[in-house]
Amino acid sequence: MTELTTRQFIFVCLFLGITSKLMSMPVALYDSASNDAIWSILLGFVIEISLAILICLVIKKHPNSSLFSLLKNSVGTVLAYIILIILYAFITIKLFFALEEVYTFFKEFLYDYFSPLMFALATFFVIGYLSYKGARTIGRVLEILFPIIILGLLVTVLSNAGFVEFNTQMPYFKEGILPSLEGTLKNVFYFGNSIPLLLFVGKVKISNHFILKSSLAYLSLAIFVSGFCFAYYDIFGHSTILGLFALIDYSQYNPYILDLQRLNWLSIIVNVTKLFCSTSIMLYCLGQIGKMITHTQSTFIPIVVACTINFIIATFINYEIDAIKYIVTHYVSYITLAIILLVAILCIIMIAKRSQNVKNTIQ
Amino acid sequence: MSKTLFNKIIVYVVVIFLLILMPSEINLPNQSTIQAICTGLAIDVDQNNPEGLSVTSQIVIPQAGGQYKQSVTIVTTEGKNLLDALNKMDYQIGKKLRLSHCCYVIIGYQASLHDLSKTLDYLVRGNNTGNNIVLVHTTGLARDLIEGTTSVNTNEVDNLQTITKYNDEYLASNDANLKSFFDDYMSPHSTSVINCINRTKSQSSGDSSNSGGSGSSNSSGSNSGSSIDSQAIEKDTIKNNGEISIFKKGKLVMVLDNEMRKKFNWLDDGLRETSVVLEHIDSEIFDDATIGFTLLDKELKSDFSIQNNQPTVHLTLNVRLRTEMILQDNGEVLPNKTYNDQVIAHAFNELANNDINEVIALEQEYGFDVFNYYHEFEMADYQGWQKYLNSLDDPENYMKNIQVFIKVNTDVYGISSIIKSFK
Repeated sequence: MTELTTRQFIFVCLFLGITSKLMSMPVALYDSASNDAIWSILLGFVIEISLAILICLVIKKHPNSSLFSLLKNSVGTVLAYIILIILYAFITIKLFFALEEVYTFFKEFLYDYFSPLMFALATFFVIGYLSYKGARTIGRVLEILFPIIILGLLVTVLSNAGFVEFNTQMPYFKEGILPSLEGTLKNVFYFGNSIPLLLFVGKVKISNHFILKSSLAYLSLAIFVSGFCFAYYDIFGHSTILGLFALIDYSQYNPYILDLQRLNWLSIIVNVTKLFCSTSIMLYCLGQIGKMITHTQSTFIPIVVACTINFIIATFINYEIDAIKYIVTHYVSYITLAIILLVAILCIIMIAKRSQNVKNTIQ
Repeated sequence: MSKTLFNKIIVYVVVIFLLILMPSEINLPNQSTIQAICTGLAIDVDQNNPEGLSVTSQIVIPQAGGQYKQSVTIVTTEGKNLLDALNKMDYQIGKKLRLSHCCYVIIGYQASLHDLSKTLDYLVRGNNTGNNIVLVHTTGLARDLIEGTTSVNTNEVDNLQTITKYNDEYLASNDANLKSFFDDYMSPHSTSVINCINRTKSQSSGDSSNSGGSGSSNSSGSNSGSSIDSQAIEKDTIKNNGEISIFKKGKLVMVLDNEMRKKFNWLDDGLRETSVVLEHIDSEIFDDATIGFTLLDKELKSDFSIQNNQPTVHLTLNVRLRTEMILQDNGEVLPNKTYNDQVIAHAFNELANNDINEVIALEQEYGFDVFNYYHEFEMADYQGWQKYLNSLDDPENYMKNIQVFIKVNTDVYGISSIIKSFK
């Protein structure tokens, strides 16, 4: 039943974790929390890492169970279906948001006109096929692409590191801690990326120090993203709110690297790779949920349904990224917070249930 | 292998995709026929409508086999604002103007008297431009300067960028690009500094230009020069005189010349002034000497504090100099060694003190804050600083009551001092 090795699972964590965090998130957080935005990010990571550790504990405690059977045993069949539907809706929004970001990137920075239909066709074909092939295939793809992504991101970040002055955002907490709290709460949607990990229950081959390795992976992700955002805020300062995508703005800042085409090529590689990897993981999760709800043997139909739903959204409800950001910060984030709490409570119940079972067995 | 491959449905899906997508891609028109590449913009005030803008664009028209210079053209349009002018430019050139390769924006003098944030908003907000566009100010018409970049040099874009890069490192222009300008504009101190570069056209005789300005002429030069002497040659150059322009709330406050700019450099720890010259040094050794130094090292320590609602800055400037030139008034050539450090140090301390005081006085008079003391005081004592600002009638003019105390420590090095250190 296990499909992923621990290493592959860590790559899944990292790719899911980094989705959206380098593009519109830094700008949205600065808009909410001003110069305290970096603290909002750290607080957001505390939420994300805490949830991820809880989910990893569930994965470790139940290496041979499926999520549906666990949910059914924990909260009953009806609630299990409701929870799966909520997860399905949430991951669909996450997937749509990730796709919309990359589509906007292409449309705004590369082409005069970029057909959403063509984009959706090509993208869903690739990520649909990848997710249909299963977690093992995705895990292998991530293993291959991970060094490229890391190298690309490091080059991008270090290219402008010389411009960082370290103190331009200080003093922090000018108006207390409320702005940073508000920033996190308004944008907690960006920190709900660990929720899809729940679908990997029973699919990971647990190695030694599984929790420690996963925690360290998330910690290094938090350090990297926070470091990037710190550098971005430091360089762009008050003009951050005029930006759109942090990674693109950041890579274009240095005026003396025109020969490298302003690192646009790197942004394209990173974004496209990130798109295919993270969205295929999400689509895989949607396929798994669809499979659990419909009790089908294959994920083909659920993935086709998920692709169709997202295709319709992406093609015909083509919101601008600003409109999506508005919806996310005003409505979806509060729902995300509720879902995070729900998943956390579920995880605690599932962990506790296992402990109780073990105790009963010993008795 | 081939049998396995063709059994896969994926292969047929890929082929169908290619069949659908390829014809439409092949039928797309050539990008160069529908797009024009803008490499630089110049913004002036419209002469016919003082509320409008006159925008000049340096456009590269891609030509097969053509050289860069041959394909550059200059187009000017007028509009109510930048977007309006650029839209009109699209009609004029019959192509969509693409700004993603725009490397610099030149602001003319008249345009700089208006709020630049309004003028440049389109560029910083729109996603069709990079945010590393270098900003350049000129005291004449921006159009003249951008035309000069096309006609004066052969590698114009690089040259303007090289000039501004030099300014970033050695002059108080502080990485003046579009984003940094807006960052400064939106900061509480709202003071921006950008490079000021001018195009100068001067009449000079053909004789002097031919002889390289040396004033001497050999026999062949004088023979051929007789015909050239009669006609004046127009010298057309783009000059970086080390000037900087200071903006407060997006509007031009003043243009500082090179001498004044050098004085500003003392107060920025990150900037490296290369040389210092002390004049009229009189002592037992020196006779009204002019002594030139290279600045080996500069360290500025600043201590910001607010006591009894009085913001105070204690500046300690530590410099290390190396003697490079000694010009004695009596013509005596002195050996290469360290001379009378105390006299030189005293003269230098006085020079730096006067310079810094002059800079502070200028900032207090005009109310600008080049070195972002606002932020430094916020960092040092946020509550105290807010209290001080609230106590002012005009919080915008917070610089006027700041007290600055300066201490300069000079260390003069010569070759002999290094030898001395080994003994």
